[in-house]
Amino acid sequence: MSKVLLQTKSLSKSYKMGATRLKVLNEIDIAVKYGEFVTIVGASGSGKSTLLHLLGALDKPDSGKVLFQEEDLSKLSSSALNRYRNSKVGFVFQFYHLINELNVLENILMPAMAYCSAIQWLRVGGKYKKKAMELIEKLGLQDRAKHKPYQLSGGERQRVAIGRALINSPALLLADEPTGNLDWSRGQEILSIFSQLHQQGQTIVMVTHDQRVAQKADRSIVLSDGRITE
Amino acid sequence: MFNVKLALKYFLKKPISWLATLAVAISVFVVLVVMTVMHGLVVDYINKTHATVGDVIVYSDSLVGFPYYDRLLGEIDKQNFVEAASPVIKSFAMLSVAGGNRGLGVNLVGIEASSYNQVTEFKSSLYRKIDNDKIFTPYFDSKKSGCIRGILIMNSKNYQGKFTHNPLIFEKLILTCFPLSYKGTLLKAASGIVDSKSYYVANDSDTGLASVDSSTIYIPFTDAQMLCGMDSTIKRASAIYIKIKQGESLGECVDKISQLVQRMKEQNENDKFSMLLRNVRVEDWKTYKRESIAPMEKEQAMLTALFLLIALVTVFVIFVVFFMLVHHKLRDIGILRSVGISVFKINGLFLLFATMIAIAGTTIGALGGWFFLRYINNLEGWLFREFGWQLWNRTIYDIGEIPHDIQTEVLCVIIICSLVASLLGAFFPVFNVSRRDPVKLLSVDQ
Ligand SMILES: Nc1ncnc2c1ncn2[C@@H]1O[C@H](COP(=O)(O)OP(=O)(O)OP(=O)(O)O)[C@@H](O)[C@H]1O
Ligand SMILES: [Mg+2]
Repeated sequence: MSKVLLQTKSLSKSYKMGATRLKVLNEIDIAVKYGEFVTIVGASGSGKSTLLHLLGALDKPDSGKVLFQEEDLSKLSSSALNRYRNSKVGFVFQFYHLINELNVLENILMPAMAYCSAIQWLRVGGKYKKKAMELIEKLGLQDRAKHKPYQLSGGERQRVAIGRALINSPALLLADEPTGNLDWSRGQEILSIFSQLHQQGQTIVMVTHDQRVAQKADRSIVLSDGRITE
Repeated sequence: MFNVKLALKYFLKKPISWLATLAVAISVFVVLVVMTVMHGLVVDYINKTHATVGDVIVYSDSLVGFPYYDRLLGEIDKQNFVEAASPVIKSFAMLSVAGGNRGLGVNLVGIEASSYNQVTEFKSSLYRKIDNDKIFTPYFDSKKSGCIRGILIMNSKNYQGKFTHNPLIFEKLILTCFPLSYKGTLLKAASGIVDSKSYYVANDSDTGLASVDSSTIYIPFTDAQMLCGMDSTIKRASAIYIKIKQGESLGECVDKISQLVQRMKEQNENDKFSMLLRNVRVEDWKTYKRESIAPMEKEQAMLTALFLLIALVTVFVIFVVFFMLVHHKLRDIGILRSVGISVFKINGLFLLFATMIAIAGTTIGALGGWFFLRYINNLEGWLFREFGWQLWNRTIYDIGEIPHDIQTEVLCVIIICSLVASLLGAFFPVFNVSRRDPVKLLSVDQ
């Protein structure tokens, strides 16, 4: 039995809607082990994205906690939290969220670069550039390295986003419907990338509502009405 | 490193940052040009006014004048803070042109050429450049008596501020005065005192102050004294203009001269002319000329207030521009936060971006202002030639050319304000936004 990488304990989140509160997540307990490929499935509006954001420390829960390598995220200082977002997890958004002013290579390098001073970059920049080029190759973007996001197709943008999530070799890869905006064959390409990563030992948590995708994973967590129904 | 890179990309690649740069540039341009021109006009007017009277003035506001002025002048000249002092007669006269119009009312000023030229800048106002001792000598006949005429009497200026015709220095003028006894009564012409005298125009004086140049005739001191009856019974003068040495405090000099005048009043308390001394006052030039300076200063104060408003609006505009700029970038801020870049670094990134815009905008605005001011007079001339439109109508406004010397202090203040406004304008929205949870920033539609 391998070790648990990420765990939630009674994780709850609600949104204020005028006078009432909309309870989106209700005491969620999940655990993800090292090397696992877990999908979160559920109807639209069931709280999948919300859960993933909490796992990536992009949002704060109302109650309960997220433990990453047995550390409570809510106890982290803001700089430790930044480090968590930067190099412990990689986040792939449904809408890519690339920076339009930066080209493919720069977008991928961005998380690495942002953590270095100019002098440090002189030292480690080469190493990261090499790694970014490898990722670009692996993601099939060789001819696109100098392109800007608006010059790319949706699938290509999603691959750039994956590259950016992987540049700092995070222990955990979080992806929110990475194929949601793509046609079937583009989606397949992206999924095969995730499969490959999984085979290489990458821990992945992916939100999807495509049952076929879920079948490729080790395990699926089904969310409905803010609870896990498995 | 990354900050600089992304800030540069934002700055260079985004039309909105060019617009922001333009907004900053226009603000700087407008404030610089208007401040320079307005400040120049006011300062010019005040300097010209100062140039006509010296620094400290001892005067009587009675047309009769005050006695013992020569003794007082001797005392004043002995003071080590005094550079020069000059007695002046000020009165009214009726001016007739031989064979021409009759009865033009003018201000008559009697001056002692050499000392007057030391105290005031009168000499540089003369149309025909000439030596001190020949100042009243008619050009064509040195034996006749001459006067100096304010250049706007019988002359006017064209749109370029040039006189419509060369001053007629051959003209003969007749001045008629109303001589007064020391008691203030009219002296009869029959008593042997001359009340009317002819002069040839020896020169014209162009002080640049329309009110002075359109109404003043200058004649030699002794002539004026005689014409006004101020040599009857006891010699009198209307004023003593004093120039103080450089570096002396004006206020202290006024006090010291006041003491001299006070002593003179006390010494002559009991003689029959003492009441003439009672009207004698000592003032610095600003107080003495307050009637003409005060409205100008009022105007300047008002302008400054208006400019504070404009500056406020400008700062607000810059603020709004940066506010929009930051909100235009909410999603990017969200992305940066989601990959773990600190709030501090993001603030720094946007401040850097704002600094680039501020520096570029301020530089463009200041250079544009400098260039515009450099050619403002050519531009105005061109507008007049092509369209017959003149910003300051030179037949009315007494300015040679539009002021265009940029005040270093003004420039520095404008630059600093522009930089500070830009940075504050960027800082508040960024500071406010970058602390939000990344999810909130990413959920905006951009
Ligand atoms: N900022 C917010 N304010 C109010 N309600 C919100 C907010 N964000 C999400 N919600 C609500 O929370 C619920 C869950 O949203 P979430 O985005 O997690 O759903 P989802 O499972 O990812 O759906 P989808 O499959 O459509 O992406 C939805 O009903 C949504 O309306
Ligand atoms: Mg979702």
